[in-house]
This record gives sequence, C-alpha cells and structure tokens, in this order.
Amino acid sequence: MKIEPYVRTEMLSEQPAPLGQTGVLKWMRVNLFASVSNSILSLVALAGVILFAMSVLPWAIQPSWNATSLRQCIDDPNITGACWGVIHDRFNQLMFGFYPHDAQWRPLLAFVLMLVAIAPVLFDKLPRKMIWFSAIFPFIGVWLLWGGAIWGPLLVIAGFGVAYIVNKVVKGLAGDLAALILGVLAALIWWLFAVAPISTTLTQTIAKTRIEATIQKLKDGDAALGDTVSEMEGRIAALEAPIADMKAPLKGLKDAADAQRAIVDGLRAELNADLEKGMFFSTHTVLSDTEVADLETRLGVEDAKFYDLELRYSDATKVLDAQQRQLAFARNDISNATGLLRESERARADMSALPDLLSKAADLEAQKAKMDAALLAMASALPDSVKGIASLSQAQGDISDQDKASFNDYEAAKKDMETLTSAVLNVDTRVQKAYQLAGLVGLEPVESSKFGGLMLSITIGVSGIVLSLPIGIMLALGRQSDMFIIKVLSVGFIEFIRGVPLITLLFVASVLLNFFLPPGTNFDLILRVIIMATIFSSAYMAEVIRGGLAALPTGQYEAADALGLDYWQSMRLIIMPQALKISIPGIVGTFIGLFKDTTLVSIIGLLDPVGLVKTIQGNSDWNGIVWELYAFVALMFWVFTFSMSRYSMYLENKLKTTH
Amino acid sequence: MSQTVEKEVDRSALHVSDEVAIEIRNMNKWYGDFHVLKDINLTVNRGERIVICGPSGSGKSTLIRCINRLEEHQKGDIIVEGTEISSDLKNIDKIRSEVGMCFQHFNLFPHLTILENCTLAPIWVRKTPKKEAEEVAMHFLEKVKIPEQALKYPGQLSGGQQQRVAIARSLCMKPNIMLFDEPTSALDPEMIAEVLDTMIELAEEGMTMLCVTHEMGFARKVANRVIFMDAGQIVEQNEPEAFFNNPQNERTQLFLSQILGH
Repeated sequence: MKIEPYVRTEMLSEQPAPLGQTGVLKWMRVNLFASVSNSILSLVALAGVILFAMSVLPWAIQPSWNATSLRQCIDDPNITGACWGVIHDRFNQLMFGFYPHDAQWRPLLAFVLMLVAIAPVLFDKLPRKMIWFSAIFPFIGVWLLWGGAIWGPLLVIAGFGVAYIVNKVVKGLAGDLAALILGVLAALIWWLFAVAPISTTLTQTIAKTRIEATIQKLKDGDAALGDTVSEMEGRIAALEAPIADMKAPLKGLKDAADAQRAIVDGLRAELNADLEKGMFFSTHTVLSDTEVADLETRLGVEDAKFYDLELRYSDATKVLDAQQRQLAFARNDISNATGLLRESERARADMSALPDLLSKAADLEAQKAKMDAALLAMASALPDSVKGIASLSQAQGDISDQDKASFNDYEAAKKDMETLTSAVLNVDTRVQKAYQLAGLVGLEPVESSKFGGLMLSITIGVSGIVLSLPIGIMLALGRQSDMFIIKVLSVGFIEFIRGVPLITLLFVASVLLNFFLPPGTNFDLILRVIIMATIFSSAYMAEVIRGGLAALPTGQYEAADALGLDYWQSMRLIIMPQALKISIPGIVGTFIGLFKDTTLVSIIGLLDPVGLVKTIQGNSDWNGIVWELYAFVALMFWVFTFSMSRYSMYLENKLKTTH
Repeated sequence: MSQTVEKEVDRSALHVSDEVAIEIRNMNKWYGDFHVLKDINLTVNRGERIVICGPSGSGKSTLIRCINRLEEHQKGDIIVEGTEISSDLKNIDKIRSEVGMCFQHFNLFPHLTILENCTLAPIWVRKTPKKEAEEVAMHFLEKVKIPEQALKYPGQLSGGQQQRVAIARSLCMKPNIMLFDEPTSALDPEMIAEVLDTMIELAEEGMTMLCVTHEMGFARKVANRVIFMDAGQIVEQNEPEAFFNNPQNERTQLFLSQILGH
C-alpha cells in the first residue's frame, strides 16, 4: 500500500453547533425525550402533575383568609374550598402555643440569636470569633425561653471558668490527666452544689434589700403623712378658734335683734289697738292724726333697724356655717390620713415579717430534722415483737399490751411526722417563691406547660440535634474502642435504644421517670422529652457515623499514629473530619427524622403544632376543620427540613477536595 | 529494574556511625496463632541504609511496622534511640514522633491541603507555632521539589507527587530514622524515579533508613546492607555487592533469579 503524504496548509475556523445540539431543544431531547419509552414516561408523569395541580389548586386558592369561623366559610358563597381563616385566626397559637403574649418577643429573639449562633458553625467564611457567641448561646436561649434569674445562666457559664482554673492550677502540680479529671470534677461539683445555693443567696439578698428599701420608702411616706396630719391639726385649731370667737357676737346680735323685734311689736300693737277702737270706720279715734303719723314714722325706723340686725345675724350665721363646714372637711382629711398611716404600718409589719418567715422555714426544717432523728430512735427502740411491721395484724405471736401501746405511739408519731413534712415543704416552697419573685433580676419565669406550637418543636428539635451529634460521635467511637467495657456499654446502649420506639421513650419521660426520681423533685417535662429525643437520635447518629468510620481506609489511622498524634488528636484532626464528611447525608437524615419526630410529643400532652390542631379543632368556631391545619403544619416542617437538606448538599459540595 | 535510579550516588559521602539507632533482640510476633516474625535480631547503626526484601508474606512490612509500634510484638525487645518499645503510651508517642514512616499508599490526609498535611504533626505533637511549622514545611516541600503544590489537596496530585509529599510530611517532624514500606510499589514507572531520587538525597544527608522495597537498583546504589527475609525470618544479610553477586542461601538465590531474571 502506498501512503499518500499530506500536510495541512490552513487551519479550520470554529463552526456553530448544529440545531438541536444546544439550548432548550438539546436539554429537552436529552432529559425528556431521549427514547420512545422515556417520552411516554415523561408525558405520563407530566399529566399526573397537571392532574394533581388541577385538583388541589382550586381547593387551595380561596379568598378565605379573613374568615373568623368555619361557619363563615361555609356560608360565604365565594368560598368553595379551603378555609384559611383558621391559620390567620390561630397563627399566634400555632407559633407560640400558650406562651404569654407580652413575652413572645423572647422566643422570637431567641430564634434570631439561634440563627446568628449556628451561622458560624454552618458557614466557615464567617469570622471565627463568632463561635464564642455560639458557645454561650445555649445559656442565653434557655434563659430567654424559660426566664428566671440571670444568675442561673451566668453561674452555669462560670462553671467552665472553674474547670479551666482548676485545670490550670493542677496542671502545674500534677499531670495532664489529673488536671483534666479534676477540672471536670470541679465543674460538676460547682454545677451540682454551688450554682443553686449561690443563686438563691443572691436572689434572697436582693429580695431583702428590695424589701428594706420599700419599707424605708413607706416609712418616709409615713413621716410625710404624719407631718401633714399635724399640720392639718394646726389648721383645725386655727379654724376652731374664730368659730368659738364668733359665737358670742352672734349671740349679741341675736339678742339685739330680738329686743328690736319687741320694740317694733310694741309700736305695732299700740297702733293696732287704736285702730280696733274705731272698728267700723277703720279710723283712729283716740290718737290724733299727728300722733298716729309720729308712731308710724317711729315704727318705720325701728323696723328698718330690726331688718338690719336680722340681716347681719343671718350673714354672720352663714360665715359660721362655712367655717364649720371647713372644719368638718379638715377633720375628715385627718381621719383619712390616719387611716392611711395605719395601713402602711400594717404593710410594713407584713414585709418585715418576710425575712422572719425565711428563718421560720429554716427553723421548721431544723425541727423536722430533729423529729426525723427522734422517729428513727423510736423505730429502733421498738420492742422486737412489733419491729419492722406495717400494722399490728402482721405481727407474729402474742404481743403484750405494752408493746402494742408503744407500736401505736410510734405509728402516731410517724403520722405527725408526715403532716409536718408536708407542712414544711409547703411553707418552704411558698416562702421561696415569694422570695424568688421579690428578688428577681432577669425575666419573668414562663412555665414549660405554656410552651407550644412551632416554638416547642424548634426547642426540642434543635436541642436534640445539637446534643445528639457529639453524643453520637462518642458512642460511635465507643463502639470501635479497644476497651471492652466501653465497647459493651456503647453497643448495648445503641442496640437497646434503636430497638425501642421513640414513643415508648417519651412515655417513660412523661410518666415513668417520676417514679424513679425522689419525691418533690421538679424535673421539667420538656427537659425530659429533650433528653429522650437526644438519646434516641444519638443512637441512630452513632450508627451513621460508624458507617463513616468504617469507610475510612486503615491507612489514615496508621498515618496519624505514625506521626505521633495521640488518640484524641487523630480522632479530632484526621478521622472525624473525614468520617463525618462521608456521613453527612446520613447525619442530616437523622436530624430531619428527629425534627419531624418532635410531633410525637403531642401524644404525651405537649402542645406542639400537631397537638394544637386537636386543640383548635376542639374550639366551636373551628370544629370540623382538618386539611387546612395539617397542610399548614406540614408546610412549616417542610420549610425547615428542606433547608437542612439543601444545606447538606451545599456542604457535601464544599467539602469535595478532589476536582 | 535498576534503570529507574537515574541519580548518581557518591558512596564515599555516606558514613555509618558507631552509635546504635535501633536494636531488635529475639523479637517474635504472632497474628493470632500464626507466627509471623521468628526470633528477629537486628542492630541498626546511625546512618545505615538498609534495604529489606523478600517474597510477599515474608514479614518484612510487619518487621518495620513493629519498629514504630504500628504492630505489637509479643516477645523480645525493640529499643529505638535508647527507648524500649513497650505498651507505655508515652514511650510509643515519643518514638513515633522521632521515627518517620512512608507507606505504600502514601496515606496523605485527603481533607487537608498539602501544607496542612505537613504542618499538622509539628503543630499538634511538637507544639511548633503555626508560622514556623509552615516555614519548615515549605522548606521540605522545596526539597522534594513540589513547593508550588502546597495549597492543593492530595487528590489533585499524581502518585509520585503524593509520595514525595508523604516523605516531606515525615521529614517535617525532623525524625532521626525513616521507615519506608514499599514506597514505590503503587507508582507508575516514570514516577518511581522521582521518589527514589528524593530518597537518595535523604540518604546522602545521613538519614538512618530502613526500606522495604523491590527496587534492587536503589539497593545496589544506596544501601549499605541488604536483608533478605522469608517465612518470618532473616535468611541472609550482606553488603549489596556481595548480596547480589554471590548470594549464599538457596532461597535468596531463587528469589534473586526470579526478580532479576528479566
């Protein structure tokens, strides 16, 4: 064969791609209509989607946002489908449950701060210093949600400081391990035995100073009031004197007026007597005309004098009345003021008694302890025949009357003791509560029973997520450990928890746990539920992470070992970053599962969104509504779970180190 | 196979000191019931370059992995730089930080950049400040001739480059002894040379090296002693010239004929 030599003399320029190889057409050809069966499948699926949308959208799109009851929706001819008014009407409840209205800014703020706190964990581009806020956020969050004194979170945070200081001090004296153990121990001791007393002492001190300040204020007020009273007394005296002075002139006036009246009456009688004599003609007969005229003039003058006196008398009486009225007012004022004084003295006495109450409660406690000891002594001093029995009928053999009597005495004492115990507990809690309120520096406490709605779901879900990851990591490491006991414990824990339905754990949390705890312990239900949800999802988390660990080649462990890294360094720096990266889909899946599983708490009576649906349905306005509420609840959960799943995809993409 | 070593080695520059770096006495190891290493006795002086060869399953990798306690021996003593290897964790960490190791599959940390791979151990084990550790790392990366890759991830490098990074990573801990466990077995032929060149440079600087390899060219040029192992025992050891030209043991002869035969 002869080979034809060839040399290219000019290079070809680029040509546009043929039609259908780029843009939308290409995309459709590749993704929708690649083959006949693909095309059919695409069309069938598209038809399904359209059918679904056509049946759901007309129901969902309704002008029913402002309806205030289901009846309104049914009666309105414009509304033929969903009655969204229920969401509008009960939005607040679906978000916060029965959390007090004026305190709802707290969960809102906590939520915003939570976003700020998780941001630096989720996105490593943010300043690393923000991690400090993430570290203290749990304490801020708990405080915002549950309220209470500020000392609680501050003292708990201080526990870490205690651990650090103890660790530093011991490190200088002994080894690293001793320092670590002692540091942790110190923190635990601090949290268990120091936080509560210090917080109580602070609160009580503040309560005492506040009460004293109030008493002082009342006292000052009383002093001012006392001054007012004495001033008013002066005023009364000042009023009383002129009244007494006025009485004598008034009497003089009265007498003068009476005398004048007698004169006028005499003159009038004289005139009339003369007139009577000329009965028929009504003329004066005895007195001459001049005499009559003279008399009449005199009468006129005297009469005028009388009227003048009368007028002056009545004026003077009016003045006196006015003065007396003023006196009466002043007297009324003074009695009011003294009433106030008496009341405030009573209040002062009450308040001063509060610290006494506290010491009384302590006295009661001491008394109780003494009686406890006495009771114990009585129990051990019981005759053998009646020892260790619950009632006389259980006794074996014959019992002497003396023994019976001592047994009965003992039983009576026991009963007294029970009464005293409950009384002491009662007084104690009431006094403590009064003190807590009086000395509160912080936020109004909100009880767990008020929590509800999405807020509750987020509280339980986020706590569970944040806690279950580290616990799951520790369990996964424990399962791989060379230490037999740790391995067995981890495996046992994981297998047991995974083998039990979450709902049984929740029932244990809500009902059974109370049996195991000492009576009188108030162990918050939400906290119990969080612990159970955390335990549950950490078992799953452990298995997911174990999968990631198993996927790592042993060479990674060996390389870390060969470089001299110790176990924790190699886990933290080499093994876990890679194992966690491999496990991201599983971890996020577990997170999503946990978040959705929080709706199960509705079964043990917590008012999460699903629990609230039942509550809202129970209201006569919304009796019979179903789809709208569940659709909304589903949407709320979807928003969160979808964000989580998107974030996991982002993270997987970001952590890819091979390109 | 000797053609892969391109660099000329000036043997006169290679000194062996009288000080003992590693001493192994009557060491035995079992995997369960299987007796892997039988009565190993070996003394390595400072500056020695020992090549260990032998058929697969002969225990050569296990032997050098015992030296930094990646494998536990059950009987006998191993003394490295005056420290005896026992189950004392502190001793183990001390020895590991002074004995560098390179693996057949490099075992770089894929989630860290080349630079981070090299600075990790100095920062966390030696407590070197980050800046200083980075300077040291760059120095050694330059030495293995890949400083420009410092910010890349291992997955972006070729096999030969990765192995050179692995060597640099070990060197950053400033070890007195380097262990190589078949460092070139997983590499393409043209990459073997670059790794061997790096190893030769190390040898010229006086590093004590124990190398499990089938690169007989390297052994001939660099090693001062070649050890042949079979069935968990040291069968023969000698200077390279004598070892290759005049093997005494039957098994050695068979092995050499197979490996050099074509």
